[in-house]
Amino acid sequence: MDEIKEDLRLGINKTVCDVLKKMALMDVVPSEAPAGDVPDSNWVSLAVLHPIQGEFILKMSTEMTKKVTQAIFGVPESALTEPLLKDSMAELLNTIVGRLMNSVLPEEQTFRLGLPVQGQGKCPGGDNTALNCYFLMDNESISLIVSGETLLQMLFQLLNLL
Amino acid sequence: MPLYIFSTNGQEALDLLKSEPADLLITDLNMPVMDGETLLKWLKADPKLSEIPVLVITSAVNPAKEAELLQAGAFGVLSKPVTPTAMVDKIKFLL
Repeated sequence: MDEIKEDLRLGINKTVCDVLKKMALMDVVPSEAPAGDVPDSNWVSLAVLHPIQGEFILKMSTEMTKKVTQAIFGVPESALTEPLLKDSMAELLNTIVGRLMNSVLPEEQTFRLGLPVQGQGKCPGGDNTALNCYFLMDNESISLIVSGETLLQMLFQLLNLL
Repeated sequence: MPLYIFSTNGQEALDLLKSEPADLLITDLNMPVMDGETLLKWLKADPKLSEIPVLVITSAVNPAKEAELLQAGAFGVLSKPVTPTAMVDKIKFLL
C-alpha cells in the first residue's frame, strides 16, 4: 500500500497544483509534511459516492482561506463573510476532486460526489490507510487527505493506465 | 440592465422561477435540498418553464455526463473551473 500511495501522490499532486493555481491564482508546489499541524485550520470534506466510495479532505489555515477567497471572488478583505469563506473552500475541493476523477475515469464512466461538509480544528477521517498530500501555497502549508482503500486502489490503477 | 437572482439550492431556484420566470438559468449540479439534475427535470416538465435555457456548471462532468445533461434538456454544460470568457461566450450563444 505504501508503494501505491507514493505513486498516487505524484499523480494527485499535478491535478491539485493545476487547480489551485488556476482558481487561487497563487504559486503552489508539492511539499513535505509540515513540522506541526496547521493551527486554526479550516477543513472541508467531500465524499466520492460512485463508482467507488472514499473521501477527500482539504485543510488550510483561516488566513489562507481568506487569501484564496479573495482570489476566487475578487473581493476585498472587508467583504469576506463566513458563508463566502466556506463557499470558496467547498468550491476548491469540489473542483479538485472533479478534475481528478475526470482525469482518471474512462469517458463513458460517470461519477457522483457528496455535498461538502465543513468544520474547524481537528478534521475527521484520515485513518492510517489515508494518503496525505502537502502543498506550499504562498509559503504556507495546506493539506489534502485522500481516504478509502478502494478509492486509493482505483485511483492508482487508473493513473497507471494513463 | 440585467437582473440577477441567486438561490442556494435547486428547490429555492424552482420556487423563484415559478413566481418569476427568467431568461436564463445557470446552475450547479451538486446542491443540497434539490440537485441540479432534478431541477432541470422539473423545469422541462413545466410548460411555463421548459423554454428557459439552462446552463449547467459543474466539476463532475465528463463526455458521458455532458451527453446525459444535454439529453435531459440542458442547453449547455461548462466544466469547473470556469473562466469569465468561457462563461460570457456560452451565455451569448444561449441568449
